Amino acid sequence: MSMVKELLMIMLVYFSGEWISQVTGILLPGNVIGMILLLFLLMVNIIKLEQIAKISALFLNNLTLFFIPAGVGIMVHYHLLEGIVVPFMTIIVVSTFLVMIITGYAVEIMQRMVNNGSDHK
Amino acid sequence: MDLITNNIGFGLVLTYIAFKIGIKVKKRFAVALANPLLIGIVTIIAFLLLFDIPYENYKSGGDVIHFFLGPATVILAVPLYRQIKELKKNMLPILTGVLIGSLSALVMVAAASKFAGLEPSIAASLMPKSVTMPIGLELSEALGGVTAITVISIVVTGLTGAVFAEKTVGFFKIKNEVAQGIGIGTSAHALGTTKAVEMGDVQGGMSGLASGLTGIFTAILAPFIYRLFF
Repeated sequence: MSMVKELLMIMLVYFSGEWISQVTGILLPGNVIGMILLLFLLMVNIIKLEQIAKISALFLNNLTLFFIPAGVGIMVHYHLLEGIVVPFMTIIVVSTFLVMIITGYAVEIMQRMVNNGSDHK
Repeated sequence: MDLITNNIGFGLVLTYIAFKIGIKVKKRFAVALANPLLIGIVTIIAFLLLFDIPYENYKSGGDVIHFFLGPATVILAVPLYRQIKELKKNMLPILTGVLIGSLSALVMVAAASKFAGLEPSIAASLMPKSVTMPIGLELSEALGGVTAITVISIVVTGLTGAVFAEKTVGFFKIKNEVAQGIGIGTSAHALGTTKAVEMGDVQGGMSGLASGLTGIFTAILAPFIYRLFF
């Protein structure tokens, strides 16, 4: 399938997600609903991986690009942090590390518990 | 200068060039700080400040690229689908991990903000720091936070994750690829996911999933935790 067709398919799923998000007033943003929707469409074989192969490779290989503009936005708001930069940044950085470690360990511990449980059956 | 920069093309081209520079530097220096995202952002800010170009001139083109963050998130379903067996097999550990991670992030941030004597409005702006931008901004407003500060919290959190994720899971011996992906996505949302995607298909898919789930859990839990502390 051509790149343009593939992109159109993804856009259709994306806009459906946005639409569902607005109509239902659900807490999830439209792009996350779109992701769940695409996963569902792949699972029930309505969309096949080959049909979106080119566009997904393009996006996944260049994922970082799409986050750059949001990061640049910091430059206009940075002054709001005057006087609290140190505690502010410390809280963010330290908690990010801790949450990553806690979550990773939690998953590994749960995996062991689930596996032990199924061994005893 | 305004003549060249005051159009959509300027932000588009500058972002693309900064991104390419980021990729080049990353390939050249194999250190964590040589993160293409970090380098891209710093390059653009430096360029704008150096040539005294207003942020608004950059923003019109930047917004076009920013728009494609939506479809890019949708496409994260692809690595997730490739890992569907892992997902089904690990359903309970994944859900428990994300729940514990989201809860500990909220409690940690609220407690630390209170301890550091920060205003409640600053704490409210910090609490949604580990969720994706659209959920985070709404949540911040609902709690009485300042959305601009929440933008900074979310970006700095994501950058921390994107830059240090691989080192952190390595240092703390989190070896399971599912656990790595869930840890990165829960702590550093979609921005951290850019790193997880580089690490592998399992990590990328799981991180994308976790960042979505963290958004839901955090949105539900945040108001209670906030009231507990402030």
